[in-house]
Amino acid sequence: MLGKMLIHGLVAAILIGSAAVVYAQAKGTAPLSPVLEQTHDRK
Amino acid sequence: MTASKGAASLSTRSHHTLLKLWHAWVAGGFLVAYVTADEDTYAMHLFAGYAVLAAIAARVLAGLLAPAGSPRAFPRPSLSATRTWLATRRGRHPLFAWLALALLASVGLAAMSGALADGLTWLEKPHEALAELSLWVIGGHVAFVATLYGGKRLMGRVAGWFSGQSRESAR
Repeated sequence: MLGKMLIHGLVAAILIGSAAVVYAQAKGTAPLSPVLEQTHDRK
Repeated sequence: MTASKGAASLSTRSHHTLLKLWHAWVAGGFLVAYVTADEDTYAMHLFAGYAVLAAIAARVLAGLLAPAGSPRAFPRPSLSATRTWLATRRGRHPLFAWLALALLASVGLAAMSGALADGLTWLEKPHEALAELSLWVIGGHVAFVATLYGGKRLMGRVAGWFSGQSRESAR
């Protein structure tokens, strides 16, 4: 029961984390966008 | 009679599903908010924090709207109930209610202070302290539930082992 709930929590963390990344990307402050930053710099 | 029993068990099952979903929502949101509490990941922290705040608000709303005696009603710990439990050791462990209330309060205050700290910067330090406190309360809640249920299972095994031995020695 507890093990299953831990897995549910981790799945929820992945879902919320993914949504948070999308939100951060939309705001232009995503932590996973160094490549994008480099691209912007080159321009 | 059978139909009403079925309806009751379905409602219990759906209540459990809702409870598990809510736990996953809060735990997942808190985990993401906790690990993204950095300047570089501020937008993610904000998003996850609001997810936690929404989960707490949903729980508070469900508790307020729930009829008396409903499993969704707020946990109401009381000193007299705790004293009665300590004397009789019967019924639900009072720490369930105390920890549930402590969790709702600490995680709710941490999320609320985080939302307000966006405008009121002096709230940043109290927000961090509340988040750290919440982590300890969450740890306590998990340890308590694991000990209570894991401990019961262990005691059952030990009792089964002893009863099996006494049956064998009686032969």
